[in-house]
Amino acid sequence: MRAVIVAAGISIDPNINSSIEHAVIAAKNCIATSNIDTQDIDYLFNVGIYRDSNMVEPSMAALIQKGIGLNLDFLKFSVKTPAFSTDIMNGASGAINAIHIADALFKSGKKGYVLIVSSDVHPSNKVIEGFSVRPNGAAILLAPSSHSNGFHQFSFQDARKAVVGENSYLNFNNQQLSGRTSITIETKPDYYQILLESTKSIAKQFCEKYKLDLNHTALIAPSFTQDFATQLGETIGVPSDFVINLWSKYGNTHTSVFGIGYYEFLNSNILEQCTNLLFVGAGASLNTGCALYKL
Amino acid sequence: MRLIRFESIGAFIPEKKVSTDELMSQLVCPQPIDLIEITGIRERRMLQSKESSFTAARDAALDCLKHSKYQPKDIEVIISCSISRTLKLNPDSENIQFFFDPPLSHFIKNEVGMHSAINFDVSNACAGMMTGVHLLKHMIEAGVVKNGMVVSGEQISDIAITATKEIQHPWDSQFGSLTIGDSGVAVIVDDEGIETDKIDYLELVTCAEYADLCIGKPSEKTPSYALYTNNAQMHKKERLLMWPAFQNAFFEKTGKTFKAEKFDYIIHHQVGLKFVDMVNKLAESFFGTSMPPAINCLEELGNTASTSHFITLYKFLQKNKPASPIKILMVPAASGLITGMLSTTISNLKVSPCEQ
Repeated sequence: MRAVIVAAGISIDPNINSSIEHAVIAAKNCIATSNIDTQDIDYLFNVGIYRDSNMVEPSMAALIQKGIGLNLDFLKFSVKTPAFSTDIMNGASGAINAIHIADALFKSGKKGYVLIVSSDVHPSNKVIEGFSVRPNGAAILLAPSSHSNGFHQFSFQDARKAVVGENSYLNFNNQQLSGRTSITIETKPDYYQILLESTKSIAKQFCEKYKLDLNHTALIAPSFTQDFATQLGETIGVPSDFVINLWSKYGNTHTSVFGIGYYEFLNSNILEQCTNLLFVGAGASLNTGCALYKL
Repeated sequence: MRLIRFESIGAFIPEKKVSTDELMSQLVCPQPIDLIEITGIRERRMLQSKESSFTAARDAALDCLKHSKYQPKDIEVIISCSISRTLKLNPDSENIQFFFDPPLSHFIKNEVGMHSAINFDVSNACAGMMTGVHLLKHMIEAGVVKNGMVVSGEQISDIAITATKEIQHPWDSQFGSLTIGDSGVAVIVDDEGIETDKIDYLELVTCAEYADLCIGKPSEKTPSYALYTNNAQMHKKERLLMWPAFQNAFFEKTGKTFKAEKFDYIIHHQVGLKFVDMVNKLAESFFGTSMPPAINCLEELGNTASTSHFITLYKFLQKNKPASPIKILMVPAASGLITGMLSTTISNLKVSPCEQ
């Protein structure tokens, strides 16, 4: 068994500045394009980082679960399998971890659907100058499959001694503003260049190890900067037309890069020409996650 | 199917003790409430100025590795499950940071030397450790990895301090925050289980209708986190019946009964003694059989949030050396609203000696 993507949905309305609202809209759009009932979902994983009011309890996943009406109370409303939700956090590449876990759930015998949602907004729920992430949300619905398509390989690596590059935190001691409306993001000037170089090296090794036919492989990679995905594609040898660079249309999509990227891929004219889809996540210091999806 | 077990357990228990009387005396608006009478919690531990969620998790991880056959480099996955994710970027500064990115697992992994491990954080309120073990168990069963560590360090007593400054009346939504204490705990899980040493099952459910009954976010009055809980709704009989109903549905699917499971002990979330007694009485009535003896450590450690069940097990093993395998049922109760059950049989877990 392996995880296969059943549907994807996005939420990009610039007038929405709530992480919960973006995730709920994306999830509902995703479910609407599939043939399943919301109650068929067994697991809901949220991988978003920047959230409404810097909330830490309950999981954002539980609040999103409530928003989509999934398994509200199994004692009151009977369901086949009660659902379980949790947040999974690993910077901008948390979705690759969540897909990896979903794949493991299916391999260990779980038979239902896994919904992975993501969204990021400024905690103040306002557009704040200097906050680099554009408010958005995405959702990917996964199911188990015994066919050859789906996720085949995963790899997670990070560069050693690279503890600090970008830190995002709440600093109460220096807090002039309310903790609900502020977040500190410290980025070293050369962080994204170093991250790109590290990601290039790790992604190239991944492609070589699994002997990817790069002429028929599309790449979904972070849109931290205008050229991050494009330069990564150039180095590993993916044709420029097959690089899903979200920057110009969506800006920095942060944790939603894979949901929005997959949605764009489905609606692109390269779909028929590709046999593989390469997901490359980066961030959380110099952490890189790669996943190979066979179409 | 591989048998999965807890290979090792470790903990970090902060030195600083704060009695309930001392905490209650700090209430800016004193309240006519006997917290010890209501909860049974006499004291809790609090991290000190040089410590953080990160150091508590790191020290628990190191303690866990001390009793493990694995070296840090052997660990394949590290999952950090704290609600509070505090870390001091400058250990000599008074400033403490509450982290969102990178995840705490990244810092723990690098500090402890688990360089080969996949890392990610789980954030799932007081069910964090249970969630981490649940996900890791499936990753091992799937053959994706052979072992991993689940760890949590909680510097969550900040919400108790916030509560002392902000509580206005006996039915204040921050009253529950006064039960909270800090600690760190870690477990290593692997695929070398045997019949007398294994995780029998671990099932979890989120009933999201009640997701907003307990919200943790920064206070608007104090520069710190606060926890706002609707206790009346959270502890309604219908909510408390979710666990036995969920466990019973699992038993019906798997042909088990509570009585036939022959649990030696039960560990509930360490909210308070009356809470534990009340849930056990409901369960006895539901299952039609008596509950096994409850293990608690809340009298001395309070409610340590995501570390609650495993710190209770750790303290129990410090005081007791079971001569034969024991079967323990752990029952989570967490914001979300999350319930479920973890059944484990243990026979070989070692712990460090008790320090007063």
